[in-house]
Amino acid sequence: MAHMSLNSYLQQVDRSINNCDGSVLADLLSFRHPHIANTRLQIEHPEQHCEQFFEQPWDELLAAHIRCIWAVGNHDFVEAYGCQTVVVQSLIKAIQSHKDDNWALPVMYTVALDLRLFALSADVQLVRKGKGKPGETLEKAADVLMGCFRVCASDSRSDLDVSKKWGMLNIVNQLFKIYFKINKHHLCKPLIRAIDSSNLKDDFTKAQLVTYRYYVGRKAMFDGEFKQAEEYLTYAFDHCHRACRKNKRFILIYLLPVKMLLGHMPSVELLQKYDLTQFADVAKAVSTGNLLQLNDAMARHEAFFIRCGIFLILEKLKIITYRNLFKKVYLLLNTHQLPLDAFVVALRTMGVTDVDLDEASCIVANLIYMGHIKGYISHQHQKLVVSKQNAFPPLSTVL
Amino acid sequence: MTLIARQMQSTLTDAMPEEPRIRGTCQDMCPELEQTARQRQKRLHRFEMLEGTEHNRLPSADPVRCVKEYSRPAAGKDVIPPAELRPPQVLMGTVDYLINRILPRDDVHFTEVYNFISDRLRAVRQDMVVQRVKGHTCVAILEKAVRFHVYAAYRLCESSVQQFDPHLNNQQLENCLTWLLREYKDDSTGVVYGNRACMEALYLMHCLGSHDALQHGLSLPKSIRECQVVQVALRLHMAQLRGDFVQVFRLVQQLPYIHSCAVHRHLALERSRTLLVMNSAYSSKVCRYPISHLQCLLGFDDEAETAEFCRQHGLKAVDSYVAFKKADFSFPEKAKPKFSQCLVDDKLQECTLPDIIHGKTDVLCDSNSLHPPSATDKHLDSEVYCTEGGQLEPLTGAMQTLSLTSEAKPGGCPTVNAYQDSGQPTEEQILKENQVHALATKEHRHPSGTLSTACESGSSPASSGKEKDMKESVGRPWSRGRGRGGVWRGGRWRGRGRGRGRGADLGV
Repeated sequence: MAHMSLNSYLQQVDRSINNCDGSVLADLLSFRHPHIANTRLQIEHPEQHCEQFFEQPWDELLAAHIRCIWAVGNHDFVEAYGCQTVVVQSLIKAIQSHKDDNWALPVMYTVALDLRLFALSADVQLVRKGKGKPGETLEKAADVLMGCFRVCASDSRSDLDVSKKWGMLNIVNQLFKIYFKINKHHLCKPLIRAIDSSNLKDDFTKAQLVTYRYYVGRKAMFDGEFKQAEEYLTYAFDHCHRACRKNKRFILIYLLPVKMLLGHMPSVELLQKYDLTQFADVAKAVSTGNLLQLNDAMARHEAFFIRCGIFLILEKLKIITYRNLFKKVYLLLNTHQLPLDAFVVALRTMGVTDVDLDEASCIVANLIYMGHIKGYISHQHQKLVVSKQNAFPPLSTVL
Repeated sequence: MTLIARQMQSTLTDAMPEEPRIRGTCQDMCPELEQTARQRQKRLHRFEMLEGTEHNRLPSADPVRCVKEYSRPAAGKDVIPPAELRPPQVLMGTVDYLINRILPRDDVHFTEVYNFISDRLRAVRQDMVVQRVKGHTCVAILEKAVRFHVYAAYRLCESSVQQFDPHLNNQQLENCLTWLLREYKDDSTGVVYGNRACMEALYLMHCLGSHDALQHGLSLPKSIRECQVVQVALRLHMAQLRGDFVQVFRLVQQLPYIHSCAVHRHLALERSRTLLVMNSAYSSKVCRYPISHLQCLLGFDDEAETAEFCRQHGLKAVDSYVAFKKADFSFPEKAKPKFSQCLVDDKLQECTLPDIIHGKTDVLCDSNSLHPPSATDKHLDSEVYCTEGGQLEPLTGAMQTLSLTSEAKPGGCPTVNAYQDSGQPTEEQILKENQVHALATKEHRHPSGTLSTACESGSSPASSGKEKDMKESVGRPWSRGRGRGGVWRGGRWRGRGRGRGRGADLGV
């Protein structure tokens, strides 16, 4: 394979097209396949050869692919990205002409994946040379991929087993990866709507569904919809293949904070199993209402939490910690009228030395507003008056 | 397969052929060609006309005052010839001219000054893009442009949309900011910029409430993140995230002037949110909340403004008290932004306008000097909270001590039981308790003489009037300074008292 001639390579491709064999053709166009290391295939201008073998639009596609092999050989990913866009766009044309057939979907998945990876590398090269802004090429790649998505989504007439709609989710997942990378989460929204309104939404392959729900769960988390985030991330975690430990770990990084916000603390065994012991101290601090320990744990693992983008969610755990601390105060004083001074004392004991009555009232006010405390504050008497029943409702009932 | 992956990772160092760099040769602020063309087309701005010819049929261009105007890059336009491009040092000079000479002009309305400078700065940036200017000059120009747009957004916040469109201004500002932050991040030049921390903090303040901005702030290099102004900005963001409004407004007081201008556009929303939270936490048929205390918490300038704000949200505010009631609250349609004396204006002190834009005011404020901290916690027994164990055991002890002391304290906290037993309290009860409360809080006068939160009971109108008088005479030292310096004559753009004299000095 690594040393075959251009002609024999093109013959193989031609055979797979004629046989409508999507998976073989996908391999032959993939940059994970050994043929791309073949120096005999690194040709700058392969157009003529390709025209002899193929009709429109496959001749353009193959010419662009071979030129792309050449570009990658030269480490020029800007050029490679350009070629790969031609590949994807030619493939879109080809797929559009396949009425009532979807054999080429695996090919689309492959070329779309490579397009994204080239865009990523192209961005790095462009930024190094001071010619582009970070994420610029990726954003352009997203536009091209949207073309793929539209072809899939608009195929509404074919029967279910030959429908191109099956290709939607793979492309959506690719787009999610781009949008999360360039920090444009809001662009995910129309895609989510499209998938959720599709009648196939539960029948896609499990691997795709796990990826999809992982991203939708993360987005829900950033939007503050923790119940939904929990549901999606839990699905992803439960259905992710047990051998994919790395992926399961990724899911947990987001699932854990959400669970903690809802009052479920992770066990030490789980954290050890997935090498996420950074969360252990945080969980313990939150459940015991120990602000000192929480601040300490956050400071110690700050870099890790920031890198994962969950530092801010964990910051919200402070609110839960306040709630647990204040509940202790309530239990200790054993009255329904709690002097606000008591909370100042509690906070100062927890190392918030510069806190005063206004700030303590502010924290209590927020807890009441969010539903963590049932009661009201009397400013005149500087007291918190709590409900006689269920003054601190369980966390899972609040969010 | 892995080989390819590795290749893809490791290919980032090789060079592609560089395009030749364009360098401008125009040594004036405006290319001659444009000067003559605009003179002929009668498109000279009055700031650019030769003195004495303004009233001629065809005013002539003053070559030392003309500044290249922005023109949209459009299809069919040729590449700009070097003779019409200004090299970096001329661009820098142009920016300084705009800031030093045009910005302080008070013979025209500020919107005209704003439109002129905003347009000319945009042209400067266009020249920078074409020539790919990088490094110190680029950063310095962008920093000034950013400060200018931030300042203008505040200065014109009370204007109508016809006069000033905050949206367009924000677009310009955000363009400059993202470019500037990218320039800071660019490690290929290996330069460290002195103002980076300030500008990063400015970005954070401009985007208060944005997750992405905060995430950006958290991932800054440690040396920048640990700068004081960035620390304040980050803490403010976190406090906003947690809904900790007391912290938010206290931190705003610490911000430098220009940062306060940047954060000003978010204040109305933060105040609304605070009211929403307090309205549900303090919601009660029998309790009332002193407006003066609310004013302290939310950094309003006076009680009238605070009360008006409450009323806009559907709350009843009478006799210097506001009644929080869950059912009453409603968000106002669109609150008109207002200047803020104590959160922004007072920080200006003796500075001239050009000083602000050149970045000479980017210093943190000592919050205590501006606004005395709340004194309500003074009556807390200091020995109670000095337990430093940090564990919950001392907490238990502390609680016990406290529950004893709070019962025994005279006047401090009258028992709430009165309500519980007799159901609804009578009018007299409330009145009486207010008096007790007023007595209890009277002692909390701040040593400086101004009333701090002690005025929460709103007890004597005489004392609050006195406070106002003091502010009147002490505050605004810069407005006097301006007159003396003659840089910006009559530089006040707003009457001292609310609603008084506003618009009188618009100079139209």
